[in-house]
Amino acid sequence: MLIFTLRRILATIPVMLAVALFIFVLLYLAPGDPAEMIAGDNASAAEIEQVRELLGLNQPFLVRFADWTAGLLRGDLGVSVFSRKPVTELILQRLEPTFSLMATTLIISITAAIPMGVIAAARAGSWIDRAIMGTAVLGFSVPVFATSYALSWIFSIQLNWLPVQGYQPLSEGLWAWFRHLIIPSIALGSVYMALIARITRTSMLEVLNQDYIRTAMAKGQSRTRILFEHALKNAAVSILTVIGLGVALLIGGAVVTESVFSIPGIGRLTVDAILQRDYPVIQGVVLFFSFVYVLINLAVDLAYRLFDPRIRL
Amino acid sequence: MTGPTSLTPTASPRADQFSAAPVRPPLFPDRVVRRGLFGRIGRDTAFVVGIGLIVVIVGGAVFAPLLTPHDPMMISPTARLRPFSTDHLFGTDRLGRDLFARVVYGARISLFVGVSVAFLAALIGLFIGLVSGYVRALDGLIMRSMDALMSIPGILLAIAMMALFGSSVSNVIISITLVEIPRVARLVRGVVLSLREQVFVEAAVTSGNSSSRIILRHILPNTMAPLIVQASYVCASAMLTESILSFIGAGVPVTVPSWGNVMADGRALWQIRPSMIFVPAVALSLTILAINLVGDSLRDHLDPRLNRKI
Amino acid sequence: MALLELKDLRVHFRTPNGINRAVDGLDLVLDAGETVAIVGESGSGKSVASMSILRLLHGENCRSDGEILYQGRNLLDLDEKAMRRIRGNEISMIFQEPMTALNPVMKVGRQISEAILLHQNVDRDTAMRKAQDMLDLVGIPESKRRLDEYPHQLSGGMRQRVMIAIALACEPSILIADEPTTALDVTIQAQILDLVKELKDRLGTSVLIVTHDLGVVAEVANRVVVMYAGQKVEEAGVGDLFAAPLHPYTEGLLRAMPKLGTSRVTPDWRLAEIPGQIVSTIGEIKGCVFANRCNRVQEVCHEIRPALRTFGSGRVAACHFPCGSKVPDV
Repeated sequence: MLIFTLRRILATIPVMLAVALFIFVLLYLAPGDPAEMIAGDNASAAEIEQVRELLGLNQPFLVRFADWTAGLLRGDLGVSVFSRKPVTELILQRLEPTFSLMATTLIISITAAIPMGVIAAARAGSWIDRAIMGTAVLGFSVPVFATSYALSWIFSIQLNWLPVQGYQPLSEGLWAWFRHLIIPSIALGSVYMALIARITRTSMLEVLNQDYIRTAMAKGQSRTRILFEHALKNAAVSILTVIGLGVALLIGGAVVTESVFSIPGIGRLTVDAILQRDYPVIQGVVLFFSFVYVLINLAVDLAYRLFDPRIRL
Repeated sequence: MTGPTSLTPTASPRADQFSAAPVRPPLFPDRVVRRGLFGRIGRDTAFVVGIGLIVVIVGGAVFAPLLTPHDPMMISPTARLRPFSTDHLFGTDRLGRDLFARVVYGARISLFVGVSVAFLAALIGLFIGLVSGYVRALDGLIMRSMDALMSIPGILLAIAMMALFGSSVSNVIISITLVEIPRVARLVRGVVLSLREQVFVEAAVTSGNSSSRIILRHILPNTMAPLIVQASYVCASAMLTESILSFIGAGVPVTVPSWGNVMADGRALWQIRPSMIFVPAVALSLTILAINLVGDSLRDHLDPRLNRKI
Repeated sequence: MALLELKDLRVHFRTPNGINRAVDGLDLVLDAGETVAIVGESGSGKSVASMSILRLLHGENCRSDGEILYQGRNLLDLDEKAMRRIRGNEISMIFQEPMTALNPVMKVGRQISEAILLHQNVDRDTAMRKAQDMLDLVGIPESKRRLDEYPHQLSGGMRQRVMIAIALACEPSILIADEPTTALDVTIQAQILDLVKELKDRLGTSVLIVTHDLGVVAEVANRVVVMYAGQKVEEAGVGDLFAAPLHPYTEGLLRAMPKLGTSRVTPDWRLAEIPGQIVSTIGEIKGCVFANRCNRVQEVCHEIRPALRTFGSGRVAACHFPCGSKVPDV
């Protein structure tokens, strides 16, 4: 078991390396001279050359990639062109808001979507199924910022129940923290919820056709407990897979949501970096999120066994 | 209704001498409705609504000049932030541009991006998927690269590319296409791999057909249905991504009235003029909804594996 | 009063191609302590009939009609809650596919104790001990260890034993066995049948066994109901049926069965098969359901559906020209 887990963990290393290479190549191919940008607008040619020398930008491609990767392993993502601070530091500073937003979104989405999918599957073909699946299609179709503004308009501006924007760190108290995250989480989670509700319904329908569901019925088990005890655990692996893959949507959406609600997280950092053409920050953020994504899916793979004893990692 | 109680042979068979079992109507009203693919799909409300919306939206985009006299780019400082009126159906923005015109013309950009990405991603993904599924030697390498590409959250990858290569419609299309290719390629590869195992492909191989012929004649046609369904989802997803890119300033140039840009323009004043965001948002959502509805019903009707209704 | 009585049971399904009259007017009686077999090939409606007794078929595309009288109560009239008290408690069921009939992500012990907890007022530990007793009863060695195993760790025969343990855990008065041995190896088949027979005697359970295998019937049944295309075509005591079948279909089935003592050297060694395929129960069938495959078919058979007629003691058959009678132009 331990060996299998280790092997699975080791298998993610080439993926991460490939991601790093890809992002490095992107930056390498990008138009414009990074040395020129880092040296500043009114730097002389000699100064630019000096920067180039200093940063090793005159080295061959592979040497630069090796240096850069070595930096990555030390947690060095380079230095922001704009603020001159290390990118790693910038990301770490903004970790809490982003992870808070992601965590609340995950919890809200999963707890809402799974029962929705289960009910839709249990009542397949009925009006409630159609209503839930219709809502899901709508969730897929409305862009995250539109949901953000719509919810904000209703609950903050019209009803004045919740703050319009901003973020309170967890140290300010749980409620203050959560209050600011309710609307952003629901807005960010709407696509994710639709995704999870749909896969839950599909895999539940598949499971409900299985013989062992009939066995459970023949025992005299109630429908609700068949759904949630017998069927859901069998559907869990597919649902979990989609929960893991869907995190990509959350990461992309967080960039938008944080920007709409002025949440000072990594997403905001990204948007600011785009506007300032701060390449090292963009590169660092993309790499960081990709690694988070890979690690989440690794965790999902490892969690399969909790739900299905047949799976050998 | 009990007949003879012994095995004595019956006399000459005359109908009235046979005891007949009662004939009863079935427990369901007997309406046997058989329909072909088009008959069934034509009765699917979601499909009809989706197609109807698409026709209206595409029509609006094509005939935009007939729908509004206003130029979507024309700045008129004297007509800033006008409310809804018959002249300015949805009012004007803070530069005096007509919102209705911007939304109608915006459909052109959004649809162009969506359709281009769907087409390119389907084409390239199909090629990569066919090669990967058919040429075993390349499969590992191709699929690992696709995995790596898919490990980068899609929107972030597009953002990175846009930030590096600059705002333009073609860069948006290239960036989103790159994000979507792996999904198509994986799908096609999956279909190819399952087809390879099937009898008719094996028969074609044993009877000495060339690989290219087998791919063209036997495999390609069978990938079409899932590919079309996937392309519709890619189209919807591309339009969403474009709007997000434009919205955060990494999409099409700010002067181009794409829906994302129109909404980005509306951000500054959205609390007093929510229509600046909601009108283009509704247009975008309806378009994507329509494409998703059509995609879903195509999937239900074209893909027999998913066609099991409980 | 019979323990279980089906009166004019009809089960119809709505399908995209039309209405499937899977079971269309089945009468059946199961007395206490008796073993009745329903025999037929796939598509005859025998499995549907057996599953409809516990109302395991559901959904808006399935309707049942008639009466299913259990101890005089019509199960079709019960509400879901009352029905649940019957399932697994008074009437239990085991299924054809032991490989898929157990929940793959639940431990064996839990799957057995679940049934006990549902119907008996005992705590978890007691239920688990009872589950272990049941595993002992159905002949699974090392029962204590098996309680903690998952179904995929057991062989097919073991799993069917677990299914029987689940079914009999609450000592039901009726056990419905739907093709209990079909998916098993021949040697295991005999073991499972012996187990069913032994437990039936020990616990006094009545058994309704559904099978396509006349060998199984000969082994366990007292009485046989032959089904074809949703209809009962013949019913008889097992001895009578094997000695002198009345319906040409039954005769065909018997002829398709290898006889003990025959071999390649004996003149009659070759197995006969019934030509053609079972008629689809989707849509209306005119005349006798077996007419298209029958070797005694007459013109009238295509016109008039034969009603069930009584022949002697407790024998019924639905045939205008039963075996042993004279067929006009043959």
